[in-house]
Amino acid sequence: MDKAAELKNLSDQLVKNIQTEQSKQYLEWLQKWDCFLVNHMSNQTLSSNSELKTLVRQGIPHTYRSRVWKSLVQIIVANAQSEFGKNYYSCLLGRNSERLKNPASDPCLRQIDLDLLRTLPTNIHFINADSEKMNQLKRVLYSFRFHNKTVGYCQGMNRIVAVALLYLKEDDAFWFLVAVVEYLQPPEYYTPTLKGAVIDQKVLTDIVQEKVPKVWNHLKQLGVDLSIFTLPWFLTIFVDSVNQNLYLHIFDVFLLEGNKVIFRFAIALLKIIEPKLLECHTIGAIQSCLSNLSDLKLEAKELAKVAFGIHSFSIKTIESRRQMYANSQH
Amino acid sequence: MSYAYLFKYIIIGDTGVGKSCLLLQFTDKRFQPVHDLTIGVEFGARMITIDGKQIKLQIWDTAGQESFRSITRSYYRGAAGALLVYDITRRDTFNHLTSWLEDARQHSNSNMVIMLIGNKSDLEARREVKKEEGEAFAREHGLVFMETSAKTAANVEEAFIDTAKEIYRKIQEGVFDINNEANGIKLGPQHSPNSPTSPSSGNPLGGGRAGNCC
Repeated sequence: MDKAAELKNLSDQLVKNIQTEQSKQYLEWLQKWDCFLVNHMSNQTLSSNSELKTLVRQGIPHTYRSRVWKSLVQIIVANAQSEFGKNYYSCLLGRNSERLKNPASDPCLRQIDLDLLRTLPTNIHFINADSEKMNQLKRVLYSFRFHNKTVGYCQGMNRIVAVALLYLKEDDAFWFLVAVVEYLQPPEYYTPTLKGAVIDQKVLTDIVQEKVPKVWNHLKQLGVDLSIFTLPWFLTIFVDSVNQNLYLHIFDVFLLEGNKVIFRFAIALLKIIEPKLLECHTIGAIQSCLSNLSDLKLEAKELAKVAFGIHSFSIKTIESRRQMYANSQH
Repeated sequence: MSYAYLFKYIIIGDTGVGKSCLLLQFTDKRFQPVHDLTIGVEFGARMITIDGKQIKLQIWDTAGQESFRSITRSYYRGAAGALLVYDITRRDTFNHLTSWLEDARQHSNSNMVIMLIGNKSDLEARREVKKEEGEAFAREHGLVFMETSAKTAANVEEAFIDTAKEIYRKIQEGVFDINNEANGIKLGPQHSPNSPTSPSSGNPLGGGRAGNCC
């Protein structure tokens, strides 16, 4: 019975996908991207403008994701790349080959080794320890560990690189990680105390109180600490917290607009599941509701619509609250 | 489902020792050799019976990497039981027990029952920590000790259930104040037909109201 239901689900999904792909809106969306890339992408370089922002918020088509992600990353790390040189990644690999002979001596490398198979265990590219992408994942994380010694390696970074490797070549995936850790996220997100990420959970709770007050009140009454659930959303940019269609779309926007959109998507998710959350009357029920968001039946475009429909969401407010909580920690 | 008591557990220990696998084996009776990395915390629950009473275990499975330690500390609050896990095939996970124990003692209530678990007992050929060492550590620090295998399920039931028995014993002895939620114990809904002996009147948590247990 289960198997039959599963297959029925799958076939429904396929039919839906085909219908979507034949729909007028879908074709229009693809055409807009075609036009944009023809007019604004020369020599692999993308010029960033308001039209791009509007387009990216609707998601990047699968066929263009590699090109667009690569260009967005290059815009972010252009200065770093010219400082370190274009061949920086291969230099890192070469320089580290000696050290890599004995990974057990380094706690970060040991940790990376322990985490490789636990990165995306249901993705075909990351099931086998000897697969090509698995080796790439390992090399990128090892290299980053020596590139940024303050951060080294923090759990969650493995998932970010794995997602990058679904669309990018190995050295581009390395720069993707640099872009996320050193540019797109605020400082000290992945350092050993996770200070930046912890502060952002407090900021988020404040925004939840303002934007989704019923949920905030309800959780408060039940004594549920929301940050337990949201910390991984921020550290991994939703990888594995929601289904792949959703998190790839979130990554699209994140690469262009940065950390602020994580707040938008977090609030949007809470708004969408608000009715369900309000029906939960025990901490256990809340836990299962918030831990199983990957089962959520939701189109990425719908989620983005809710996320960008939230009004008065200023980066200034986020920044000033961050500052406030950072100061109160001393 | 109704229950007489709800106990909050926390599973702690170094990364990769098999915390999530122990939880999965206990709640779902299956072994998943490759499990998602736990970032933050994951949850599980199961009903058990002790002394004819239904007891619900609510289990918090935590991230093991050092970076997450400062965050997981806040989860100790309101835990009645802790499973402190090391991997018998990795000496360093055993060496770190003292610091885990310090953390647990410092951030939990003093009555929290701690069970020391040497996991992966099926990997005898790769053993780095002798069973006697685990026993000695447990004796020295007043912990209950067991070697388990999340893979073969050996001792997994026992580890979770014996911890509950110990908590239950403390309740019977009056060591645990069951009206103080900080102890990680919650009384079940008052009108539970399955728990005729569950204390009821005057209990601020009774009447099926969902209290916070953490």
